[in-house]
Amino acid sequence: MAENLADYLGTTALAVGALGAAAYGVVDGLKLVPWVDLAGFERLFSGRAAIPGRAWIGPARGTLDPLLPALVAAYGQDVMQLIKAQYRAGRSGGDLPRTLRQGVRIGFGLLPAQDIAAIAERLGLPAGLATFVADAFLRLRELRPPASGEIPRAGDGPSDEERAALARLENAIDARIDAALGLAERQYVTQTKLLAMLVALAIAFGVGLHLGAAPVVCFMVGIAAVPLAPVAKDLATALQAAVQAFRGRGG
Amino acid sequence: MSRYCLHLRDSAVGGPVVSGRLYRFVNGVEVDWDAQLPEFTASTRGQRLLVLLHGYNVSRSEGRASLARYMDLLAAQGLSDPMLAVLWPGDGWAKALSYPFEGRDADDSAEVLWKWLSTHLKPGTRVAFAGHSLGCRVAMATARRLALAGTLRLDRIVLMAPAIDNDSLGQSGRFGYREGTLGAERVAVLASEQDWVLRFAYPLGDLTQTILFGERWGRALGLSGPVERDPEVLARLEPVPRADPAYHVDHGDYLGVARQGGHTVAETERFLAPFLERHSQPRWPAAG
Repeated sequence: MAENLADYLGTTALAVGALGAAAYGVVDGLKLVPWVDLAGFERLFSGRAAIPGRAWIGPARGTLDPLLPALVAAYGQDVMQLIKAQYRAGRSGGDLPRTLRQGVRIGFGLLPAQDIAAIAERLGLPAGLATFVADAFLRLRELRPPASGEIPRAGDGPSDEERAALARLENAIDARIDAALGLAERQYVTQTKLLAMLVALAIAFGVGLHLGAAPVVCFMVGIAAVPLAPVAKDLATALQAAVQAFRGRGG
Repeated sequence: MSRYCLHLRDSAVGGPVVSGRLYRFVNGVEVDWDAQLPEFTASTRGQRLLVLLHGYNVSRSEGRASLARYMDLLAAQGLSDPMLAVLWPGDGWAKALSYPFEGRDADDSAEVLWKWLSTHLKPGTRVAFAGHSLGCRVAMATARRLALAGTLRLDRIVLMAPAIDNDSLGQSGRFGYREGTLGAERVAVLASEQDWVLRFAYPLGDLTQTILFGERWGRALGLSGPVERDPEVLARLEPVPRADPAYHVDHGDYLGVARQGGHTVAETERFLAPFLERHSQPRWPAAG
């Protein structure tokens, strides 16, 4: 019995890990369905703000909803298709962070003062400050830039109050984009793992019950498959080594 | 000698990285040259184009003024290559607080610069870079892309007070520049231990970038000089001693003009011109 224990445990770990890998493979195939492929997208833009958004259970707040008008100003009405395509193509590891960051800045250069104020307020700036920052933004936007060698006229530049308000808005935008991308990435991984676990459970029950295994065993195999998949080989080796060492000590 | 200026920004402070608008310095005045892009392409064909990049926290007008001045100093040293000053939005209203976010602006600027150069230069044109501070990140990221694409030839690269990690020239991956280093003919690093910005501010900013964006945390290349062991990388690096402590070379001294005028405080142009012209053993006066 102990002779076969090492092989048995190792083989079991490898088999369960293989089921996990297979489940991940099935989920990869399921990405043909846009809803699956866009896992986590609702943390960027909520279903209400972004038409068409991505439906998700519970009140997931689209962190970038306030910035949508600026993105529409920069990229046009079909901006959501562009963002979704880039999300699918690499999420925060691809072109999407640059598209969002630069798009918002370009959009701010095109929006009227009331829209900038509305965005600033939705980003958390107090109403009075939001109006102030929008006016400052517009005033500086409409200044003629000094030519090379020309000394800017006194009073053309921003006041200390304007500079502080603009800095606050700038940081709020950058921080929000980074936070949203981080949340979406985490949500993507979590949802994908959850889906893979459901697939693994379905396979475990389907195959296990057909082979006459107890439901509790099917459940344990299905639950363990996904977390085990990346480390199955190492675990199998470690188990075999542990059992060999245990046998050696037993004499 | 042709001197151009490429604006990758459309705001005086901060703002987006834009696709690039070309200007030309004519008798010290910046003239919109975007409609004459074919002239730029023709005049750089078969030549070496020296691309100059300013650093972090430099407004549009400051960047333009300092790079135009630096072009004059290089020309006075006998450098006759066409030059392209690049203005990129590595600043913000939040000043130093914006530093953690500017690394990505540097990368975005590099992406746009690479596309612009690839579009408007003829294959076979040689591209050299001279960057200061965070502009070195733009330079090396652009060089990496050029090396990988292979359509334009990388020439020599000079990094002045580079605000990048001291082992990044030999590193591959997202925050390494190995391909750019190996693709260049030679890379020279001008560094100083008296650079207080890189000594104190860089580690803090770099730590924030590590926490927020998963970048690598290390010491600044412009403080310690390159830390490399790979013979292949070492073969590409010009052996330049760090600045002599007696010179007190600080961060702004590489492009900043001395009080008496005529040269930068750190006399970097006196190294750059002979190094780019392939003189044997070019000397940086500040290195003692």
